Amino acid sequence: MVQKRNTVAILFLFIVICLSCLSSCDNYPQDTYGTFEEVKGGTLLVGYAENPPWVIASERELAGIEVELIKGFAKSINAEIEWVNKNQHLLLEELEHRNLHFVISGLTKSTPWTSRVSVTGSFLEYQGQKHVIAVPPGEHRLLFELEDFLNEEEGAIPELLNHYTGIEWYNLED
Amino acid sequence: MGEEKTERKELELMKKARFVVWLTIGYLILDIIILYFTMQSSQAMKAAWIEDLLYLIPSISFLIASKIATKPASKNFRFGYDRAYTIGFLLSSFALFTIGVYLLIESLLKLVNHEVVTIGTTSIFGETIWFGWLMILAIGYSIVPVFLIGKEKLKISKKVNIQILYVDAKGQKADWLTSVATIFGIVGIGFGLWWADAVAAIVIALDILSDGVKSLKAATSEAMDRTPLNAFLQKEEPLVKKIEELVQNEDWVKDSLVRFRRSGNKVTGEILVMSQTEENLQENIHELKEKITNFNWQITEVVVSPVKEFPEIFDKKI
Repeated sequence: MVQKRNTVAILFLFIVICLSCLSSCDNYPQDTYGTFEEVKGGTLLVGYAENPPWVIASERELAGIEVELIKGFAKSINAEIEWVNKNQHLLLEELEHRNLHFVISGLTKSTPWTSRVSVTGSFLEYQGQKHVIAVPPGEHRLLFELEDFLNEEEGAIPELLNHYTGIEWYNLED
Repeated sequence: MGEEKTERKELELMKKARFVVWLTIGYLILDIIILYFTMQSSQAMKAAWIEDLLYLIPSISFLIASKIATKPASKNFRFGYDRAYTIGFLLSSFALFTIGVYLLIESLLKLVNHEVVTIGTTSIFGETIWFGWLMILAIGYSIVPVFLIGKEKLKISKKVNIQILYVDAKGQKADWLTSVATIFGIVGIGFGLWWADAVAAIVIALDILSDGVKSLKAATSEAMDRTPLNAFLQKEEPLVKKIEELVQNEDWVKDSLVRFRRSGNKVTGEILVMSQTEENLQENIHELKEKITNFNWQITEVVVSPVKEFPEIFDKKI
């Protein structure tokens, strides 16, 4: 009886040790479909739908808070960006089937899509809405890296907001 | 003197049992609060909540039953209140069974619908931490205390012969096994195995279901006055065989029929005897009755009645 209890205790300790080793491991958690390994130093497929001030499409260039954030993230992992423009519904469907890597369109935490795609934690709360970026389902590493990047950029985000909500041709009632 | 001692011992055991059960209820409520704050996806939280609520059933029905069952017989309940335990036993077995079925269906659906869960991160002191680790902490903290509570309850249930406690202990086993499976599932998900969580849960669900079916079967048979099983549900109670022998070995007894049933943690019933002689019949019967009620603490009441023949439905070979 005493012996049995010891075995249980040792087993438990062993599991705890294994878990703590794993938690200090660099590439854990991993993606279900390996997206992060694929885009690192490669090409990020980003779907966007215009929604100022988050995504602003002018003739010359894409701009907006979320566009800047994604550009920053791509730079941090040495990736090129390939932009895909469709309406939000189509983009999110593509994302669900992992044909895209991110979707930006001023999505908020309350989107009904969270059961079909995954979203980051809110990087900014603005006018009572928690803003998020959409990521394909099951890609824990990709989500981890993006959220890690957003955490680091936390201080710069209000500045971005100020920049984009202050510009002349765009006037938000706030 | 000896009887007083066993009675005091039983009272002490019951006190201990009630304490352990209160501990369980306290833990379950704490767990419900913790789950409320850590489960990211509301669906998973709802499932864990339902489970915790079901685990509360055996504990609560034990507390209620043990309060009622110890009351002495009254005008309207002339057989006493022991059967309160039977009702609690039936209820808690059904709860355990339901947990098994619920867990099985839930995990099968996860597999069939190809539900790919994504676990995000949280930021603690500026450090990005995978939420899976927090989930593992929230689930894992309980494994050791629940394991110990279950073990203790199992030990007490054997001593006091109360099956609700036994089912409750099985509930704790189901609880900590599910926790272990969930942790394996989360670790698996972190390795990119989206199905790990569901498969681990199915294995545990089958185990819980088998416990649930076994005790549900025992509880329904008890409610239907089956010949007593012991509190551990599998084996026949050796007590009845011993009583049968005891009666048959009386030299004034020509033939006898013992009909016993479990009534909560007690065993009660009637003994039909065909006597060799009419002489001293009343004294003989009284003596036999005394012998039997002193034979084992589980038997507090028995009716011995002289008959000319046994009821027809009984084939004497049972």
